[in-house]
Amino acid sequence: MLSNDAVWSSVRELGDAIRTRKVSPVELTEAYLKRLETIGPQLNAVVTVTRELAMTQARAAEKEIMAGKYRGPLHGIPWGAKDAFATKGILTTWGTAPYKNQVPDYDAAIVTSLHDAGAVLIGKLAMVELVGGLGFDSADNSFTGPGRTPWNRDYFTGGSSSGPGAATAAALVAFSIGGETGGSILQPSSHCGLSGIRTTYGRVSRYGAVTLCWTLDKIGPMCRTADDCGLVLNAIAGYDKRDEATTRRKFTYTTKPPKGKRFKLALPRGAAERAQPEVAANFQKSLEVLKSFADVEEVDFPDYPYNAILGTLLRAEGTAAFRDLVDTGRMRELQNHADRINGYIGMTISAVDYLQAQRVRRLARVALDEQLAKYDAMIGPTITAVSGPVDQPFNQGQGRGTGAAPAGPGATPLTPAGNVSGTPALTVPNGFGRNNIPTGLQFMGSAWSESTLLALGNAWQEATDWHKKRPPIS
Amino acid sequence: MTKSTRRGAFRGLAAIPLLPAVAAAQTPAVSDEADAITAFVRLRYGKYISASEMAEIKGGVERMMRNAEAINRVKITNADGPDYLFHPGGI
Repeated sequence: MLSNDAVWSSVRELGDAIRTRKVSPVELTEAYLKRLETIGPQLNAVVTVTRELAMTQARAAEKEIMAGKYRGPLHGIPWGAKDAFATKGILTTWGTAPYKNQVPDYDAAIVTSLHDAGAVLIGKLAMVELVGGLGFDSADNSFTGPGRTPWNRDYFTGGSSSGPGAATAAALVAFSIGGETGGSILQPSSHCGLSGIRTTYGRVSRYGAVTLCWTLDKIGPMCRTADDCGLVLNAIAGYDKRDEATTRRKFTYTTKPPKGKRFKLALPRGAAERAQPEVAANFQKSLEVLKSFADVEEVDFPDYPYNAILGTLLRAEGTAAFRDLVDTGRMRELQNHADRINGYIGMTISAVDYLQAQRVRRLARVALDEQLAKYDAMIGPTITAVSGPVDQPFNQGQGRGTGAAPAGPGATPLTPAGNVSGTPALTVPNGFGRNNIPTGLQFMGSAWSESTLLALGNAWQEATDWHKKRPPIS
Repeated sequence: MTKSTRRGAFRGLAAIPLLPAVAAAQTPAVSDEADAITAFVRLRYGKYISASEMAEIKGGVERMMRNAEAINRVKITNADGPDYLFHPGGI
């Protein structure tokens, strides 16, 4: 008999329990399915529950494990996919009305990888329409309704990986997979109190994922612990000839940092300057904890117009990716007001301006690479403001009167720079802000430094217990 | 803007909106140039766009122009290529 607490366990704990046959994958899948079906709609976290597929996969996992064929720590673990990823024979809506009946005839690379690792797909999770790339201006940005963080259901999860954020934080799945172009893993992970990793551009195959921006899109795990992010990333990282951006560099997750390792962190001057007071206070307290296992050095940040570069690339590539909707007037079918008009703005960006952005991007990336190479990571608040209410436009509902940066995708300073440069970043919870919304601490590293970031996350979560807090949901 | 590093870079960073919608309240005055560019949108897509939406689009066009200006202030040389490579025959 499965205990009520089991669903809140980490992937590592569940994996150990399944391996030693203390927990049945079938029972565990039933427990998560029940939560996904009952609590999921309350949070607008779900598009499709894949009950039949899940039970088939769970039974197969159980049979294999009982026969002595254990595939590894994800075997028999129930997970959810952002509805951005193709699933054969299953609705894949990209969060938006124009594609709400789309049923692919193939699986995305990450779906195949996780199936091979023995994980059990229990649902397709909600997301901001078209990956949020058209510039949504409120939480009303998906045909499935506004994503509600389980920490306070009247407040937004963040996006665009809204369903993965809510579902993982509320223990409706053991882990989920999200995607990021300008902040879509880090932001909802922070607002939902999760550990989430934006991988290096090219670390994980995007085959079968909706394209927003060819030169910016990345994929990564959203979990309840940093350690779980490592376990999941181990299963999905790697070269894929179907995505020419993928690297042949090996990624092998290990929980053990080099012996005697004391981390070296860079703290950009002014990193928390524009943050909400609660966010800034939590960051200051975090610095004291970090100093127990790391040396922190203040640095100047390479001075480039990261937001302008990201905004230009995102708007131009995003408009190209969905140009058919612009040309046919089907933008009208989108849920969010700003989404309905921003494609037309994208059509006015000249090829020369796009190329200039790509040229300056290279200089910015090289400068940031040079600085990141001297440190294990750069740190800052993940998002400078907690999320706002689901029923107000962003420019009215959050950060107002606080001096905080506008809260939207990429609103925190490190995030646009990291996305422009294609570098990885891990967010971990570090406290709570106003309205009981979690805040996050970001570790951003040089390209291909996911192992170091995860080691940092593990050290952080050995020293703190924010990741063990549960939202007010049964 | 130069390649130098300086204190306060974050201040500037956070002040520049990433996406037009996020900072709609900070819509700048619309220039004649933005007006002219928006005329193209009206010509091609006007049948899909209301008058109030067209005004918002103008503001967005202006912000995209500001982005381009910020990018163009960075000194680059003739040889500084875009941050992607063309691979004949694939990788």
